[in-house]
Amino acid sequence: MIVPSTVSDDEELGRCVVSKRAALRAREGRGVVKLLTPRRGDRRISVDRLSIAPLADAVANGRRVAAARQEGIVRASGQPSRDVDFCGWITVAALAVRGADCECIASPIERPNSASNPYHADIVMPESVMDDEFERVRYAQELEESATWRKGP
Amino acid sequence: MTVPGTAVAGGSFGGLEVHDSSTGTPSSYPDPSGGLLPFVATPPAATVVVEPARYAAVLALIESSAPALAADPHDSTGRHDDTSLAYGDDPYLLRPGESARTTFDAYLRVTEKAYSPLLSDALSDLEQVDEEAREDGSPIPSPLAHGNARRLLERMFRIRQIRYSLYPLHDGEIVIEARSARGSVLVVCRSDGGIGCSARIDGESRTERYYDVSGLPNDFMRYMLRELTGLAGRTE
Repeated sequence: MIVPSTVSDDEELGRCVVSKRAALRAREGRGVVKLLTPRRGDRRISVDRLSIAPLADAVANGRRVAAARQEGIVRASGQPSRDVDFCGWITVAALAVRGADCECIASPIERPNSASNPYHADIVMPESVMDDEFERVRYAQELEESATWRKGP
Repeated sequence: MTVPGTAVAGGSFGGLEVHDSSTGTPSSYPDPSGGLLPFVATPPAATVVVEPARYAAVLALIESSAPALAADPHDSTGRHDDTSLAYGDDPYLLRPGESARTTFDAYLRVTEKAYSPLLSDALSDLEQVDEEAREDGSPIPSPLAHGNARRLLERMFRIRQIRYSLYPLHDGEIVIEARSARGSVLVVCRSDGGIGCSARIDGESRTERYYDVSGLPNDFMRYMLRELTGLAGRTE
């Protein structure tokens, strides 16, 4: 399948949720801002193009993200966390992202092994958010308005 | 139901003014850090704040304490910090042998217990913030951020008794989130003590930022919380 190199307005973009705690909140519409806020010094939010990604690929990617998170925790604390698991996505339409003055950019991940993700994209906030957490939160708050919870299989 | 002023001679007790919610008269309570803060927790008269059984217990508590306070030779203001008060086996009140700093503490205890499902959920969130940050691989919020978050949560709760969610952000911040169908109000407590309030209500965003917690929640935060819950402009 040829993956379009631009993200169209009608695409659904999904942010993987790999924490049971975060998923429980997201299901109730709480804590979504955290999932849509970049870290300090960054303005990108990593998402998958759920409208065009086959479900099996999107789920496999979610599980890879969860596994990577778990590895990080084990490295740091010596034991795995029971909270980490792939639970689903927070989704937002590309049109809504653009309506919030953010960009949607296709950013396929190409790796020599199965970790490739041709359906990867980034939501990119304006440069002004880079060193201003309150601005990052403000943009995330606007994005979450049109966000919905989509449970994983 | 709030504690009516008729239960206390003079309408004031140890710095705590209590009044009938039906009058809508603003009252005040002593800030633990000193000074008087506006008491804005009075809900609409139809809202039950203290269960009737507890309400009676509060009245009994206040009435039984008043003479002791009045006779206290160490504090002519009526403040009473170290008297041991025993109020039977009611789990909502002080147990025998426990020390009550003031009757106000007991009052708050009863009031907060009446709201316990909401407030205890929020406090439970706060207790899990460090663990969540650790699992995120993020910096652990500082004790200052924790202290500010707790202080603000308790004060925001007195403005609006709703479910507040607390969680860490990615760089050592703690977020207090209030939400309704109209939008959300987020208070971000940074590890360095800085605080931001971002409100998005009916599609409009407003943000304020502060360098410390003193004076918060301010008028902006109070207004946004009331606006969020559809009660802005209502006399309280």
